[in-house]
Amino acid sequence: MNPPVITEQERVQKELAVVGKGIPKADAGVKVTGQAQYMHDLELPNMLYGKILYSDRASARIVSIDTSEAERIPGVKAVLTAYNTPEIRFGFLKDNMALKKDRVRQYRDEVAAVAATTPELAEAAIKAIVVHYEDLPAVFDPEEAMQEGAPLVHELNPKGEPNKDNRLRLPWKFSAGDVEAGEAASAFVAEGEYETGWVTHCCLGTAGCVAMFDPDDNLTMYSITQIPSLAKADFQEAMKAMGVRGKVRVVLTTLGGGFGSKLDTYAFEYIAMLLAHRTKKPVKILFDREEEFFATSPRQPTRIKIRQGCDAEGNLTFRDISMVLDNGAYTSWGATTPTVMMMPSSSLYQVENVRFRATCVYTNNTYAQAMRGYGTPQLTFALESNLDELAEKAGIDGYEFRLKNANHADTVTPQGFKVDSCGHIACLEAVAERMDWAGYRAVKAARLAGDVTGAGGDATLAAAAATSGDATQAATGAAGGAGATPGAASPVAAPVESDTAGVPPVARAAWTELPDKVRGIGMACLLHVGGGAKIYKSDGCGTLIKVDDLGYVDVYSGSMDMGQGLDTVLRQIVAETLGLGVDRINVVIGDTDVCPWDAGAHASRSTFVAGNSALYAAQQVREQILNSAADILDTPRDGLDLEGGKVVCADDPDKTTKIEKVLRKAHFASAGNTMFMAAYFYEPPTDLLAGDFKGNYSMAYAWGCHGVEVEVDRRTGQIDIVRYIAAHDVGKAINPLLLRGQILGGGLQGIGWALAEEMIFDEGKLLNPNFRDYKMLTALDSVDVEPILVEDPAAAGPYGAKGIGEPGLVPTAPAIANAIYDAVGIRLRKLPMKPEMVLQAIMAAEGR
Amino acid sequence: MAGFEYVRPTTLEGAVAELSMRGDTAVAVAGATDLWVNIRSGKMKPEAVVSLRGIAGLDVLTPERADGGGLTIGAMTPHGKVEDSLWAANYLPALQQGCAGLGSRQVRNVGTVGGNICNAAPCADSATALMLFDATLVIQGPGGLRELPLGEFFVGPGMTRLLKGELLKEIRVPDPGANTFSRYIKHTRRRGVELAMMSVGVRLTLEDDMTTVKTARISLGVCAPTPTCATRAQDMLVGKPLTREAVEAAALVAADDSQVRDSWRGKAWYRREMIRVLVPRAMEQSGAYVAAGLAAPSDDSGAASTGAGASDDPGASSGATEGGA
Repeated sequence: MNPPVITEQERVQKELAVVGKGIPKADAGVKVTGQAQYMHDLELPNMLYGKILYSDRASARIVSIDTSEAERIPGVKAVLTAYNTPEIRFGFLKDNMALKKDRVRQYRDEVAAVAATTPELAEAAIKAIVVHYEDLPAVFDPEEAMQEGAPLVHELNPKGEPNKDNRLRLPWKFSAGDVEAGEAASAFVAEGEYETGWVTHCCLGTAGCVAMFDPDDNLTMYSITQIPSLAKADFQEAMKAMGVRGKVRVVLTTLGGGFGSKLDTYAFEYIAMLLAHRTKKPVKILFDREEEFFATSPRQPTRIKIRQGCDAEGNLTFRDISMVLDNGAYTSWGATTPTVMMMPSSSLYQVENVRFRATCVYTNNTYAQAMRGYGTPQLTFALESNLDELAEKAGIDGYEFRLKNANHADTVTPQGFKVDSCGHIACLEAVAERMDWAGYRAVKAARLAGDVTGAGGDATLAAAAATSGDATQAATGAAGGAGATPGAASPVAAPVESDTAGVPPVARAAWTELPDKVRGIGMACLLHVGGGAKIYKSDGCGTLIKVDDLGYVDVYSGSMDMGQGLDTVLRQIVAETLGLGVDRINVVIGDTDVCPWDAGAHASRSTFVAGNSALYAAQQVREQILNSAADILDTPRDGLDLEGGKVVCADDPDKTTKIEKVLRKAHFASAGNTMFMAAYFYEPPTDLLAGDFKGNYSMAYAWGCHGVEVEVDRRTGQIDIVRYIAAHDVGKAINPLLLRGQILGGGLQGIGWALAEEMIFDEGKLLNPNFRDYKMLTALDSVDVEPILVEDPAAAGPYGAKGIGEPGLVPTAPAIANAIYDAVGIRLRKLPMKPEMVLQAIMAAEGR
Repeated sequence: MAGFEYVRPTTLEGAVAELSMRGDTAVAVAGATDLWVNIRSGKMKPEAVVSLRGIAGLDVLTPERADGGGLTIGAMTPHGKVEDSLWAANYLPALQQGCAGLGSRQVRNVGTVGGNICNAAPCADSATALMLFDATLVIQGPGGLRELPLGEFFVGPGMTRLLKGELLKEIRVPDPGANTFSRYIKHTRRRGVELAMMSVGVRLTLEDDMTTVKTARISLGVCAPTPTCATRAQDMLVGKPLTREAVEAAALVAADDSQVRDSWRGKAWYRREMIRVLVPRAMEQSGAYVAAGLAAPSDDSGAASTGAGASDDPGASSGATEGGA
């Protein structure tokens, strides 16, 4: 059945009652009053506490494990190792095992596990286990790991065949057009290498689960997964490996954060299953903060080489990207992030000739997973930083350069994406206007030319720019004129074709005259999937809606909520469609026994895919109600509508009736067979990309642009974000309040990633598994991110909406890096941009 | 985590007796903000914890006069109390700033100044700030009270001259005199809930000519195994007219004399460079330059000069906001 389509006309004609309103999140009350039930709160009768013993080295052979002392501790009910349990393999390449046998490959390897009557006894038992290891050679650098003779992290592949080297056999290659021809046609080429390290999600709710088997061996897994249906499949497969015939039910508690960290199943969940099955009691495993840091999977580190070119007019001619990713010791979704990085590589800005290659390499480091943006933040850091370098070489202001090459609606990109709605230019313009980009540039150019505007130099630059109408006009004139761009270079030095990378826009001679604190502005854009992403065979979601005789509606969705607000968005969509208030709508999620199938909360897909699924189910229910009302009220169906909780009869207002009255009449008067209930499985008609990776894999594409003003302390290297603007093409804001929250949260997470956060490893061992030394930004560090919502409706989206879960984070680092360059003329190519790195670069540039 | 006996004496003498009797198996606890972390992680396994919370009279802040003079701080005074003290903000601003920038407000509400000193971390904010004011420690032992200058108290990281059974009773800050200016800058990676990567405190007392330096103190955190004073740099300033050049030169000497080291929390070169940069800044922000006529009052004379993100009120919480995102 084809999805019913809301026409543009209908959308414009009908004033929306609920959609588009900033309704507080459905569970806001229970969360702020501390009544939400997290995994930490879940206690079941006779429950045992599980604990895991991890490897204390990065690469070793397990010589022996002595569990005898642990087993003698009263209250310890099970001590498991790989040697007394069935092998459970899991992960994208099935190269990971729940408990490790014979060999450990990273510090977080699970070697043994216990279940005991109290957490303290479990802890004591873990400490009583003695493991003898024989160290093996290890490799921690992905490029070293690729070299011949490097120690093999896995000697055999999961099929049991010998591995030749540490490279994963994954086909991450894309090309379009002719890169060599594009380069030959280039007047300017910019080249750079960019590096991003490990960062982690910092979920405030640490990971955990409770596994419980009933006497018939059916498993109930209380979980915090982002993928209830897929996790059920994983657990069901593990049941098979365990030789257990029962079925699996996955039930979610409230999540204390997701951000991609729960997009794959973890060893601890299988270990809880093993412990629960062995003891015949519910077993809870709850990570402490240290485990949350070292035993969940972070963002994948990248080393990206990028070359881009443009012709004399600044039109992009080619883009060539290659990268190496540190896969860590096992393979989870981190290894698949290149498939998503291909998207901005091929399709952010108009460039016909594109080449992309990515190599994932095993090392003895922790293994990586999905994290907000799924590779695109790393890629965008390289792409958008390098784009600024290219624009400078071409002598064109970064904003003008971006506008010139920006994407347009109704185009097909080199990767085959069908772009129908496109707010790229609108986002660029919104940021430039809000920041007074041209005015800022003009004031800065004037100051550099010696015509100091205002007494305070750079510190007053923003204020001066904001009030200087003349300067704005001057800049606009210059930008539209001969191509001599204000601010891009010292006005006395005309843009030249030779390599000017590394020459600060501020003339060297001027350094000593600069104040300690100087300001600069930068921008960066993003492209992300906004209409699902077909990374599995199905990118679908099922919804079941039933309406009761009192006019209350239960919505059973396969999707889930990790704080992003899916529950609330579904309420609004269904309420709007049925002409009811949101207080009538109850959303049921997170129980695979009751809820339909869904591909999981990832790829910013839930509002779009689960939203459409709910919308189409609701439209069927709406038809059922209206048809039934037509019979009962004895009036033509066409004259009826649902509005304000009533069946409204346009021709005969006397017949307007409360919905619940119609429902009761339909039930009590008919001869049975009247249920107002519908189910809908929405499968986006997109392409699963494979082989050449060409096709349309999302129903909508989300664009955005971030603009930032920084103040750089030239003497300490500290970066202060003065202003942060985040414009996003959201299609239609179903809930502007929650949407702004997503953008704000993404922006702050991104600023932390850009400036402060890093997991520090010493030969595979995490040195900072705590919030003291892992510098997640605090409330005092928070920046007033100013969201701008650009609404360019997606034809296929629910009420025109696009998904915006991830984009808020994506362009943060390059926007900041570009602003730092604008301020002090140093190009930072490695994250995080810590004060000492900034200062080192400044001192080198100043010759100090 | 092992259990322990919890002892709660009601007098200082009683606490000293408990600790003396139990020897190495017992440990005194004030705010527990560090101790609890160490017990939980298994680094410390005391058989008994002797709480000082039941002892009356240790949570006090007693100024000599309403309009200045010296200050007596009871060892059990939480940092938040100093942070909130308008008197401290007026007359010993660097001390107030040091206390206001420590940890989080929750930590400052329970963590005590005495605990911060006795814990003897190289990054101890209140201790580093107190070094500026030639504070004296009053120590209760089995044999009675003794006094020790704070500058002689620290031996190494976590090590002090406190003998077994001894407890810190109070900290006495002498009257720094008129024409005194001070400032504490905690250099951190983020603004909240942070340990100092390094910190700088300065205190200048000028002669009545408002030009000649009578007393100079430069204290440093995380620039040596203990909080220290840069004595050679201080001496360079004393008896001479206050000039920017003299301060720059002293800052250079303070940097050269420091014992900064590399750790994954911060590089030695960077810490050394920050001494050079932040000593003059602290001097500037103390208000001494304005007083000495080296800067106009309306000029850059405080943290308020920085951008929107850092332009917090330079008063009560400015110590906490110094430092980058």
